[in-house]
Amino acid sequence: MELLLQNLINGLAIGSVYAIFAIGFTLMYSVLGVLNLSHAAVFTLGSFAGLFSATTLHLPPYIAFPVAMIASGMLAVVIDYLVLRPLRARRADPLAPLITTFGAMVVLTSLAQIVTDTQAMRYPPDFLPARMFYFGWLQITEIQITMIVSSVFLTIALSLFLRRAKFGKAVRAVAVSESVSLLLGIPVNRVIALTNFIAGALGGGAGVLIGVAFNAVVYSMGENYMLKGITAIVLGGFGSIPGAMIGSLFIGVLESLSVGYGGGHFRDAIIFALLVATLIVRPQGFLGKDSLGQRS
Amino acid sequence: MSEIWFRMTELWLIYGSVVQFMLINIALALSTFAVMSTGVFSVAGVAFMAIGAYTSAIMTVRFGQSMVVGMICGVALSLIISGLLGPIVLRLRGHYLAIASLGCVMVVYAILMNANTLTGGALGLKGVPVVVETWQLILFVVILAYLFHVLSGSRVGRAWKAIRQDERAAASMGINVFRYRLLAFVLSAPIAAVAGSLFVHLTGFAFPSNYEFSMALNMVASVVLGGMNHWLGSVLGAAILSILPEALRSLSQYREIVNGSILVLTMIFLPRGLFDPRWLQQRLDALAKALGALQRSKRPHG
Repeated sequence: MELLLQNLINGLAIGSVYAIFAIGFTLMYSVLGVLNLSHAAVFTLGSFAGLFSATTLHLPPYIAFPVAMIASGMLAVVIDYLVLRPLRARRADPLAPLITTFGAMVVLTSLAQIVTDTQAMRYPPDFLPARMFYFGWLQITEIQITMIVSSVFLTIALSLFLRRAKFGKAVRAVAVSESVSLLLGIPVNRVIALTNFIAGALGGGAGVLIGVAFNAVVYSMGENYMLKGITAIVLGGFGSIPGAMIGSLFIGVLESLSVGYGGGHFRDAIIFALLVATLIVRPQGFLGKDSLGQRS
Repeated sequence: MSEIWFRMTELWLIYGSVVQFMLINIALALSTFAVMSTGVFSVAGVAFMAIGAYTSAIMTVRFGQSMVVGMICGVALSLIISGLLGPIVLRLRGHYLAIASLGCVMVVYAILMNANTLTGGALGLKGVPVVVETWQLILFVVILAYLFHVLSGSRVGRAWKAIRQDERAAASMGINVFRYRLLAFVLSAPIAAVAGSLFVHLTGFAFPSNYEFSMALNMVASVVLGGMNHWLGSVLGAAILSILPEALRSLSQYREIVNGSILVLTMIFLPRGLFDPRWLQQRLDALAKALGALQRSKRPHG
């Protein structure tokens, strides 16, 4: 029983980070209609930005974290401008963005590989103290608490923004229909840039949290999380933010249980098999499809 | 004479491996082309290449069979798996299909990494007999070229082209879209499997990270660069992408960056790819017209 509960806690902590990542993904999908594979590279570079601000700039965690998020948000805007905007202007084939963002991901990932010389890097030991709290047999680390708290905070902030703020409502309007929004005088291009910024910031934030949690920042970390993020989105239904969140938590728990009970050998195989199986059985996901705009 | 012979051998020693890998890349590009020419974006070819490569490697290293046996087993396995997987995966469309194919690649990769007793895990399988010679690769590519040449003019090739250009219009003309896509999918699998088998018997080892993202990029980039209008485009694309890193040897570190940038730039600036028969035809027509006009102007009036 203790083992089960402990695994649940570990799984929810890691799943809550997957959730931030996946929400960024699904936000871009519902507004732009594009599965932006470069989100993985933004995740990785966010992690590097956090590391850079912590080691070279000696910033404390509560500043380094927002700095990394802003940097990755800006990166996402630049990627969109270079790689997706020309395709939007041409009204290209819906699969073309898949190819260009894949290309962008590879370029950025191998840039990171060259810059870091393929080495894994670590956060300084005093960046986040590795304190633990005990509840009877259960232990929870301070990092895990940070992960859960920041994930909950960011998700609530995002949904408040989308529901209450004027610009948030504009984002939802663009998700419903770009041309109608344009007719109504919504600055669509700015909304798209903002969406990319938010999504990128969320991706980069997830990168920092994962980098701190496993205390390793590697150039190749993004690819794996991208696939987990995609699995989470598929499980929850494309374009659905609550779906992405629940899917991510489910994956986190599933992973943690498979490591706890199965030794973790086939952890990734289980996740990807789940992805393929979901696509076959229920491609619209288990929470049905309610894209950002269709639900208000 | 012996001088020329000596020079040739020297050149081959330096660039032979480039030619060999180019031939394998051409085969892989053609395998991907078969699927993409029906308007399906799938990277599952990497999974079938891995299946061909590892089946061959396991049969030779673990069971002491010959390469031919290994290759036949790999092809058979790829046919079975693509036959089972195809009908399921091809029911999906667009993004969902692309994701599912990526999922298949990752499942195969995870199995390669973790089924240590059979595949050697992350260290891979070493000591695969190196028995492939260049003429075998050339023969394989020539056979494929002949196959695609025949297919492109046939009922099947025309159906594929129609499906890619407009799926609904093709369906309303009575083309069974699903069945033709399945045919392309199941045809592409053994091509990739043979290429994988040749690849391990050329290099002498099977290594899991060869069958991951970068290979998917390699295959898709060749087809996109060459253009999806004609199979020769994929041959051209694969050849360029194989020779380019060699020509830019000082930039070999940046190979993936070059590949990725080519993918992005082609998609944005050359959406129809490098090899575009229509464009070629237009140029030829214009040339013929100009020549005709020239000839007429030489003729005296009257």
